[in-house]
Amino acid sequence: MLSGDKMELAPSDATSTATSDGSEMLSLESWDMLSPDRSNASPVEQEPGQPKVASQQSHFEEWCAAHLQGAGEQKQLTLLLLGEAGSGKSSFLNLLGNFPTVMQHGQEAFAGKMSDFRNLEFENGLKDQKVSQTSAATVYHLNMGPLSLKIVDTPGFGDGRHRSSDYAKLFVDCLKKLDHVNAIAFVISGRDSRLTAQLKDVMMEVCTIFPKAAKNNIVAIFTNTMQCIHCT
Amino acid sequence: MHPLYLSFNIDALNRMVEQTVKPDRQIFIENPYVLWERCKQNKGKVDDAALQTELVKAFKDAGKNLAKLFAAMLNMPILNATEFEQLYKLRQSIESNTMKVLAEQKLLQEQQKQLQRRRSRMQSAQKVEDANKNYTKTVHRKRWVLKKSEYHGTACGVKDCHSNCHVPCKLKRTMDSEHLKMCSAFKLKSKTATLHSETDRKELLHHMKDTACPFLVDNDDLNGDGVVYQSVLTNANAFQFQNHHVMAGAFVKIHAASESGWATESHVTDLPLPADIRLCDKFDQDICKVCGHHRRYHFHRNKIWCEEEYSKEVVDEETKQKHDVALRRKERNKRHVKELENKIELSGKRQKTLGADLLTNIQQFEQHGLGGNNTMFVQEHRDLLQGIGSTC
Repeated sequence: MLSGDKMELAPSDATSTATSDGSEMLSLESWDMLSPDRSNASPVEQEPGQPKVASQQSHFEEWCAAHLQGAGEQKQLTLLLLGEAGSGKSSFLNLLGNFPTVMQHGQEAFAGKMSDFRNLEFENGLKDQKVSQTSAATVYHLNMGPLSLKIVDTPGFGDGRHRSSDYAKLFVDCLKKLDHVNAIAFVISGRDSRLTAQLKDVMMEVCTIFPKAAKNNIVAIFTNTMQCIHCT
Repeated sequence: MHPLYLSFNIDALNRMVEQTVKPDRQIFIENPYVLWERCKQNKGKVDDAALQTELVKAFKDAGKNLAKLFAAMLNMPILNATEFEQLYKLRQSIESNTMKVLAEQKLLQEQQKQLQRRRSRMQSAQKVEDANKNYTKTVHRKRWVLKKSEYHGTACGVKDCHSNCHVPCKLKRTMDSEHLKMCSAFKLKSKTATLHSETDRKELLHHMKDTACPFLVDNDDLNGDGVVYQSVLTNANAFQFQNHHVMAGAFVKIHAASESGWATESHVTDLPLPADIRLCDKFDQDICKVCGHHRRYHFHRNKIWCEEEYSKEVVDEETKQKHDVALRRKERNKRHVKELENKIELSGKRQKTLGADLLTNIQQFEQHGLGGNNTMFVQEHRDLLQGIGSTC
């Protein structure tokens, strides 16, 4: 589980370690066992140095070794996440927090355990994707071994609960807790053909507090998530 | 998600961030776990092998795109988090300054309206003042005054009479009205008679004979105390002549008579007939023969009545009141105008200071902020400044 500000997420969790020896294969036969309810089981924070699944370690850490310089030192990244309500921002965040697992599953063709997947519980992760449940910008800390990721999750734009002018303040209040920012990601539903007037308004509002250098740190995340993992 | 299926017009985003978001910064991603849920729903209904293949592919794609995102993040320059806050504060400062400038502008406009009203009232008051400024008029009138003269004479003191009854008079200067009986104005009263024939002449000369009589002269420089004796026709006793009672001591006055003005016997004898004469006696010495007022109201001094012209300022009270009210109104409005001008000057200075601060903040904002997104924000405030500059 990922919750605001303090939670750390390890590539594997204690629950799966306790119930599985890591031999559970991801196959269609095992899908019944991997229900969202199960994966929603209360995650337990993992202490650094706890044993990890070997296969996961290999692929993710290989990638880390290839991309991170200064091995042995944890690389800290901070991502600002912005997007319209219902754009799949929280779902993307969920995926982002499972980067090692996703990579592992892709590499090993579902050889890993489905229980490795950490369903990051978000306030808006359940029923109505069009209504953002996030009322304030929240900083999520994800500890992924050599990588430490801080994600600033803002309330979905245009959720009707905030005025355009509120977003910049929410943003700034949240940024006060941080030292630096690596990237600003706009999560956009690829199915929408253009920015709505409201979204444009909010984006303009938020972008006014972006420094000039931030234009080199903009990332566009196009997602077309139709259902979050909890929605069945 | 594949870029092929992208409906979104990425230019909208590019315009927003004033930068083309490059392909390596474009992440197309689908949560494979959602697909996994779908697969579960379709388990046994469609080809499981195909589902699994696609699912593996979805995970691979997701992993690849996440890796792409992380790789991009690792290569990005680090942004200082405080810069966001600084820009936010700067923006707040701009907005706050703008509010102040607008408030000042509103105040200034209100003051300018008031100034215009006051000036208009002042001008109106000035017009009224000008129209009523001649509330005083100079009138030229005449009045009787007693003036010192080089000679003395008998004058009447009755109000509004102003008669110089006998001027100059040879009578000795006196304060006693009894003495005025000797003044020509009171001394004798004439009665006109006509000598029709020698009979009339003889009758007159029968009653009147040439006699040396004392006459007053001004030998001592108009002091009236000199006496000369002259022989003139007079009567010792009263007599009746042509229905006139002539008192003793009467004189005859005819044209071209003696030096004293009184006739002698020879004057009467030589007079061609018929001829008008005047018989003057002391019939009534109380009433002035000139003005008709009693002797006691007369005085005999070195002063005579003179009519002189004089000028007088006359105030039209109604006009003056209008003038004074307008003057006070003008002065009151003048004070207000002065106060407002001072206030406007101060307000203008404040506005200039605020405008300069605002401009500085805008320039800093332009310098440090993300241009594309800030253009409208900055332009709005620049327009405001220009608007203010044009009205100041």
